[in-house]
Amino acid sequence: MYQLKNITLHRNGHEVLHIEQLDLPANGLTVVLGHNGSGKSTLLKMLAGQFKPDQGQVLLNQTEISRLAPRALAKQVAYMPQQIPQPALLQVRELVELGRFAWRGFWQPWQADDQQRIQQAMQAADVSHLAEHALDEISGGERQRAWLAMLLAQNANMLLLDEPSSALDLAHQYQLMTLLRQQTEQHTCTVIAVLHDLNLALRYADRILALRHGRIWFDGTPSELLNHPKLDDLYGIALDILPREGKHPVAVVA
Amino acid sequence: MKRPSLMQLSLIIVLLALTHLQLATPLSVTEQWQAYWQPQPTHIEQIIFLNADLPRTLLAILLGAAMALSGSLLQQLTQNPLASPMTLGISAGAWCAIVLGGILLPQMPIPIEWLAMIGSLVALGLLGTLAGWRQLHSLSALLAGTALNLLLGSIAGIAVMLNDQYSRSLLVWGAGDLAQNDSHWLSWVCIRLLPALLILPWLCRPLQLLQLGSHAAAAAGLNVLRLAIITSLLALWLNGLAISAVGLIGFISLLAPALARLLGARSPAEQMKYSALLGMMTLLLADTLAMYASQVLPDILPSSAAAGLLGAPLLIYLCLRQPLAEGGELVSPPARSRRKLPLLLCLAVGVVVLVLCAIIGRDGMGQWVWSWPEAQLWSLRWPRLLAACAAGVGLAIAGLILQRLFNNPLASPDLLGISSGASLGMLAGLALGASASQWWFSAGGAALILLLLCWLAPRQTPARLILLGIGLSSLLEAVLQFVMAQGNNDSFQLLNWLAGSSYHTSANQALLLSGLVILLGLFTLPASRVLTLLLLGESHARSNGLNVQRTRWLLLLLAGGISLVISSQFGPMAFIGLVLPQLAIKLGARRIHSQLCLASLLGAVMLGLADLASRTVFFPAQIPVGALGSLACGCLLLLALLARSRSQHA
Amino acid sequence: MKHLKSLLLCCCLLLSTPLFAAPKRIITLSWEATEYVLALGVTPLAIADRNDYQQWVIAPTLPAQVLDAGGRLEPNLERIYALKPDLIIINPALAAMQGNLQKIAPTILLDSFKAEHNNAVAAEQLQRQLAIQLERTEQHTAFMQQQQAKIDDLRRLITARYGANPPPVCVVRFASPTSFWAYGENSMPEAAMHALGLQNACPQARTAWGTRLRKTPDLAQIKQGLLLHIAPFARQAELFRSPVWQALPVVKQNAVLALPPVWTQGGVYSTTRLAEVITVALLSHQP
Repeated sequence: MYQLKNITLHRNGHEVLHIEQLDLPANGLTVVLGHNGSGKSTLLKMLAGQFKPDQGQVLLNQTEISRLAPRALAKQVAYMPQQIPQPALLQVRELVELGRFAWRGFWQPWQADDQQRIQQAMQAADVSHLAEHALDEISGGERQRAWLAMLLAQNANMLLLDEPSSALDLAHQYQLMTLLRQQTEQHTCTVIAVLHDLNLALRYADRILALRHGRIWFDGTPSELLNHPKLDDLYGIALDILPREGKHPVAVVA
Repeated sequence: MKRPSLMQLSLIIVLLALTHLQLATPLSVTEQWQAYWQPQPTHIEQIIFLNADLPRTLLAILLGAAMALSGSLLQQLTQNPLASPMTLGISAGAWCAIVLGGILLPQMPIPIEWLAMIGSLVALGLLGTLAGWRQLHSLSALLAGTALNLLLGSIAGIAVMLNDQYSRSLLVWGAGDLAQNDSHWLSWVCIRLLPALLILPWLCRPLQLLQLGSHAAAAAGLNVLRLAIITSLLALWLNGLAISAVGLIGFISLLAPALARLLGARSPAEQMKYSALLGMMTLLLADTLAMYASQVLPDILPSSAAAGLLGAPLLIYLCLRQPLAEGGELVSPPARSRRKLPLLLCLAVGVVVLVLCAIIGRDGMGQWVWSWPEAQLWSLRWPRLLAACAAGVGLAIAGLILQRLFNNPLASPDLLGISSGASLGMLAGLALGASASQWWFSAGGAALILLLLCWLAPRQTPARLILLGIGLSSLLEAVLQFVMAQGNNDSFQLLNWLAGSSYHTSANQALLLSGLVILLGLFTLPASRVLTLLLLGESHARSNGLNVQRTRWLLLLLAGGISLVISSQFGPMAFIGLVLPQLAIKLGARRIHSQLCLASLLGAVMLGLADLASRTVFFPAQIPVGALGSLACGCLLLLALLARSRSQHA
Repeated sequence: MKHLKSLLLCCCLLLSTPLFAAPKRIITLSWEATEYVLALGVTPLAIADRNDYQQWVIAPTLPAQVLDAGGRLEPNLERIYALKPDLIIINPALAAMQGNLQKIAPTILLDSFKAEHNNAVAAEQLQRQLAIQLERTEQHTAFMQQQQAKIDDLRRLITARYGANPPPVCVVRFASPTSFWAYGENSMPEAAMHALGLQNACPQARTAWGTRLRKTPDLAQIKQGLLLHIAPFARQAELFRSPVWQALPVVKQNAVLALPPVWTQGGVYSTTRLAEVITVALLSHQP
């Protein structure tokens, strides 16, 4: 679905991203890993069309992403930023409704179909009971889930999530990842998520993309990553892999 | 670029001072030197040189340093590169206090510097409550400051207009000129300035610590509150001295610290030293220019106007390249009530109030009358009432659009620079000999700025657009000072216009105005979904599929169009467009449609009442409806803010 | 009885018809117009900025029953309407409002101060024009003769004191200790000087009002003649103690005199009054 070619991006004289070739097909759950400042969020923002690279092309289904009209892009790609705002004037339901903007635009009134999708999205993200609450009344985790509901209502086949689990408690982190897995399996919807938690990534990802200093350092399946000879280089700290019987192995700091 | 040393800068100052002196006096340098050493100068030129020219040069040097230090201290304290007594509304507060003190309490011998100090403190207090004390580093502080500038300016304007004959000389003095007759003010300033400067060395280290942010500085053991109080008092004192001695000279306090940073001054000590020297330089330069212009032109160019003409372009440049935190705390968070807003009831109350506004009046002897006016009286009354209501509705709608577009509750149509454009257009009209009611000059000026804004809108971020508006209003200030300094009849016509009067509205104009406002207001309805989407912020709205550039352009055109229609008829009307949408939220109108309706209704009622008050309260004299409206809205906002801070403490 | 009633009715109608009668209920919305009307012996119903008039213009004295019509820039239309005037007089500051005022009563615009004409001559013409409209041409003629007689008297007094070569005078109003408004060509004080046969010691280029803002050291250019400054000036002490002031030639020659509060932007009456106060000052001067 995405094809990246010869991407370079400079910020304040430093090269923050350099990707020669990257294909992201339209299936599965891809997790982007990397140390602080490795360019994960920048990559995701570029995929979301928030800015153009200095050089190179970002193609979405063979079309240059900057050529797409905003609404056309939003029908295909939904993006959740790392820091989500908390406008006091919006209620959760209204936020989720905004996900349908891409489909209905300025004028068209919401259809029954829209209402149904909004309901489903709120149920899936477990925020139905918060529908009438203003966004600044609910907790950070609830807000993250409300935002996810908006993305689901947007009904795009590509979800870009920048640290979607950062404000969630342990139970909701796993719940969220399970939900994302379900989405990828049921709706042929593709998810690309930036995560910090290596174990969460190992457990749920179909494919892991690891960045180091703005370059792709690893691209493969979780099991391939576990067997990578220089896994310690990823975060610059030694890691031990503890195999567990019948369960996913976990990585801990050695 | 290699940074010039302090020594080199001092040398430049000496050279500038010599040029300044040379331009002021016909005496040659050697004669000046002789005059200085003569025990009993007899020649008139020598006496003028010693008592007028030399003090003027020295005062320029001293006050340049004082103003620059004041700006530098405020910028370091607030961590806001565009803070200064001028941009934060503090100078306007001082000036307003001096004017009110002079007019209301002419018998009370309050020293002028204390009046200035009281006014500055009040203005600083207002600024803090308005923008939030923790937001002073952000754009919000500048927005609040500009709004305060307009509000306090219109209060001073009302006071001046109600006492116009007396105030003429006040205007001339307030325009800010450095001319001197003796060394009285020089020694006055010296005595009050030099002790204050002795505190500065003690402030360097705490200010450096403050660069980490107030929380980190407090964690490192700094008493942030005490530092803030001492530093701001010192800054206000320095600025107040300058205003008391020579009137309003605005730009130095902003420019000198900015130039110091451009030259690479980093630590607080360096920033203060460089700012002080650059302040001396800029004020000397501006005053030299003013003196030269006054010799060439038939009219006197006050030093402040010269400083403004030098400074405003630089300010606009700085505004456009300065990175600045956007800030976003809501002025008044919405009420938590979930009950439905009784819109119909509000509408009914509004209609009743408007009918009352229409039928209450005073008769020939000044008795209050309460009856349906006769046809002819009605034909005198309805155009201005209708125009005022339409202006209220329009300002509310434009304010709402801008607050959502810029995602900042302090945005308002009078900060876009469009009303400054209208005022500049009107000034040009007056200069060409037109009278103040010829609206096409103001409309032309406003349209020019609107075109500029629409051209810039897709290219610049919203924050920059607002900064540009602020820069423009400062430029207006400079030109205004020149006109005001003449203290003649044109000055008063202009002051009157600047206060926002609905007096000159004819029936056709009123109908046209309300028609246009309703038409443009109707365009807002289809944009309501977009306005809701913009609450997420621009970048997020973009990922939801919004064409942000085009939307920004269209909404700006819409709000700007409304602002143009209103400001070309009324002149600038501060605060109203800022307060009404917030007030609507406060009353429980959270959704876009109810906010739109309630804010418009409030606008109509508010300005209808202001029109009633302007007709009747000071009968037979009238207060311009815009000034009254701003005042009322300012008071309402303050009440809301105070109520909020009380509920937070409780 | 029936005849008597209809006769009475006819009388009433005749009395109330304004068709042929000269306007009686006049509202003046500028101070110079107020002065013209008062000079013609007509008491206006209301004038603009009444209180300020009594403080700054002072003469001709305003009868106590005259009402305030609001500010000069924004007079109160509703009061004007309620007073039912039959003539309103305005100046160009209110030109845009002429249409609205016309709805209330016939409105005439008197443009007294322009750079293009001689203000003193225009003042006489405008007052005459007004006199024709108010059917008071006799009063006008009498008034002009009276003013001329006064001026002639004043001239004689000056000639008696100074002979054929009276000293030039400079009339100023201080704005601040460092600046003053100088009255030059086309100003009423200069017209008064010329009427008295005096020279202006500080000539200024022509403007609409004849005034210009100048700097205090500019007064050093007056080498001989009298400096007359119009009171009141709040910061007089500050100015008078300054060394620059004390070094001025006029001050050293002890040739500075204060004029009582007098209006400099009026008509014929004000000009004569200016001539009067200037003469009084000249006569009281002890070199």
